[in-house]
Amino acid sequence: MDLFFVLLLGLLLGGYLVLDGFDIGSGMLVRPLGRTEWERRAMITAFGPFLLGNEVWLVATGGVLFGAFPLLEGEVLGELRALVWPLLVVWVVRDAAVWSRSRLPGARWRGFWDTTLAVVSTVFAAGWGVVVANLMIRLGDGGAAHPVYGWFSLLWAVTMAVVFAGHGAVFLTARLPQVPAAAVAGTARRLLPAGAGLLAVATVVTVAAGVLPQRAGALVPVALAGFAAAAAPLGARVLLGRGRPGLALAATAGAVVGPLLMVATAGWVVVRDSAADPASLSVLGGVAAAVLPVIVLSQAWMWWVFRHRVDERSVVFF
Amino acid sequence: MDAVEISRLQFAVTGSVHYLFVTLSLGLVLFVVAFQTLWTFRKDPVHERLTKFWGRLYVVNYGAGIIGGLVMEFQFGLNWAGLAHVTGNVLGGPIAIETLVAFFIEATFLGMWIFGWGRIPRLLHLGLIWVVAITAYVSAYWILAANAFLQHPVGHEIRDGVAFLTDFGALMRNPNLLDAVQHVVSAAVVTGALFVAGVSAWQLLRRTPDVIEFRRSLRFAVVALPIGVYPAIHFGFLQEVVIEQSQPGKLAAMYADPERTLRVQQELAARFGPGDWLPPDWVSVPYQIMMQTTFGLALLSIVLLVLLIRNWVVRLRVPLYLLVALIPVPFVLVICGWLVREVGRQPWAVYGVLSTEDAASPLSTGAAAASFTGFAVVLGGLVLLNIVLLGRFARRGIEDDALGMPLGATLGSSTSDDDSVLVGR
Repeated sequence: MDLFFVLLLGLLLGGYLVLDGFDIGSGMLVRPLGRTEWERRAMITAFGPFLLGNEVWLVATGGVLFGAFPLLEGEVLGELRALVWPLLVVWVVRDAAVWSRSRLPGARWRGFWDTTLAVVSTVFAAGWGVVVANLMIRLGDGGAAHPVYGWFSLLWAVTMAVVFAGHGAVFLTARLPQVPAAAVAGTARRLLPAGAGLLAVATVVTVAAGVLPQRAGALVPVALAGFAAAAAPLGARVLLGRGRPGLALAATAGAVVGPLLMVATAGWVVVRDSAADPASLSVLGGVAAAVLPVIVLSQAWMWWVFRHRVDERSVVFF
Repeated sequence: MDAVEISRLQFAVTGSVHYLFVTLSLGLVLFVVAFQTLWTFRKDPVHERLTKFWGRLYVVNYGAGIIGGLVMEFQFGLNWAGLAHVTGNVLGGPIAIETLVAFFIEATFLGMWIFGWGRIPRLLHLGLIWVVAITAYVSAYWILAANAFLQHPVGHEIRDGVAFLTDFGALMRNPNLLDAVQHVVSAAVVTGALFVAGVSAWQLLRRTPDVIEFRRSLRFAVVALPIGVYPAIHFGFLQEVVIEQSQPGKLAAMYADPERTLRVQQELAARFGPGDWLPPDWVSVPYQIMMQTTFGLALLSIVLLVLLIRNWVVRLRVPLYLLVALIPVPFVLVICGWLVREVGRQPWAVYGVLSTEDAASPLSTGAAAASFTGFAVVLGGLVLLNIVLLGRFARRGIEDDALGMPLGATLGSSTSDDDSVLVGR
């Protein structure tokens, strides 16, 4: 049963990173790439229908963390307070920006929120990089030598900011109308190799820096996951070139989720050992098993309804 | 103030802010459901316009509610590590179930409801808002189940200082939970009814062109008000029976009765050892405000029902001014309710199991103050923003493009490079 919950936790957090990852990435790009109000509104409408259904994955991650791994929640969130707390504030401001920008007319109001969205989305993306770095340090039991905001965290912050931006650009390429999509695709083609390069460097550094236990059994899977993640943006670039943005999005999803796999290979045992009592897990497990198909179906339905490119008839709200 | 007090203040502020939005969402969604159901089956344009008007207010407020809720969920780990350490096995369950069973579907479907307007078949679209409403109330049940465990811990046993779940059914049937759920649901109906009545009254006073629409929503709200107020009173008092048995100190503080207080303090000292086991005595103030004001609302709700005859409620105009003035009242009342419930639980985090002192994370005062200041500034800004936006949309009245407007209609064609085509939408 505890293994089921490790998988469920991984599924929820991975799902969150992939799904809200393109909200974050798109949010970074609305201001820099949207040349007219129409384009910016179309970009927000591209990810708008998914936003609520995406970020709920992190809410569920938090719930399962508290329900199935209460000790881990207390310790990880407690130790990483200096990181979790600002990320929460950033998340709140990101949502406030999306929710508010189109409520009132006026170029200054909207410009203010678009700039805010770009800034907090970038910080949010980088923050997830810092989370990856710190989970690696703490779960891998590698080093008290690395502070929450050390150079190792900084490397991962830059890496994930670029990876999320690439993921967002590919998403916008897939969802925007043809003409603006072509312009965004150019940005995607420049971002993706940079993301791949940074992921490769971060993987090498992670293996070599001694943050993980220096055993082949621990390092090889981490290196494999890291290099697979680094290859994914390159694959996405090829697929974009062949006019398959949907498949490219699946590839960048791999790049986003790869670092989580690195964390998981290094630290899943620690997570499993902090699981709640079996009696609690069996109740929660029954509920989760019953409700998961419903969740998956409702999300699949959402994707089916909003599978087309944004066009003149797309409903706007954000 | 020490770190524990700051953490408590932070929880109180974030909880209150979150709950201000949530209680309005819970109340308002009932009106949106009612109007959309009527619109779907009777095909009356009045109901379509009402659905859009109240739907936009609902969605704007819902956004603020989610944002406040994010902070709530992660606060357990940040400020209350002891709670997870000692009672995580039990308390975590309802919270995890709430996110999976209720909120997941609710959020997914609300996004589809907003952006699927006119794109999803009408009946399915109606079904979406029904599911959103139902899951919202299911959410309330599970969150209150977690809260009821703090008030009256059941279904567990303590081994080596850690609580283990023994009976999940007992958690779901906690006597402290069932009356509280019905009380909270009734209070949400009151909040929604007074909001809808107040905004409709404001529109009618401002000589809106949409008299038919706002008169109809006003009548709906006036009928809904007693349906909320009387059960709120009933289930409010019923809770006192449970409180007297499980939290005698809370009831003593609510009643501010010196004799009872003395007796209870002696009982509690016999049970828990020497010490002050009573909550602060100012709990009686919010209790009195909540109780007396709700009695007033109960009387008023009957008067308003009578005034529906021959539309006196509108024609006399005085009731309209009164209804506008009453808009903030339910929000004050629900905060009072939570103050009684939560401050009345002190000095315990989990009654009789874990003291608030022991539940708090070992934080420095500076760290606690920094986190509190940050959240307070952001959430305070959020409350202001929400009030400004709700006020603005309430004032603008019925607009056909409030919800479900296509991109093409907002800014003209995509080929236009003119950035000045910012029509105010």
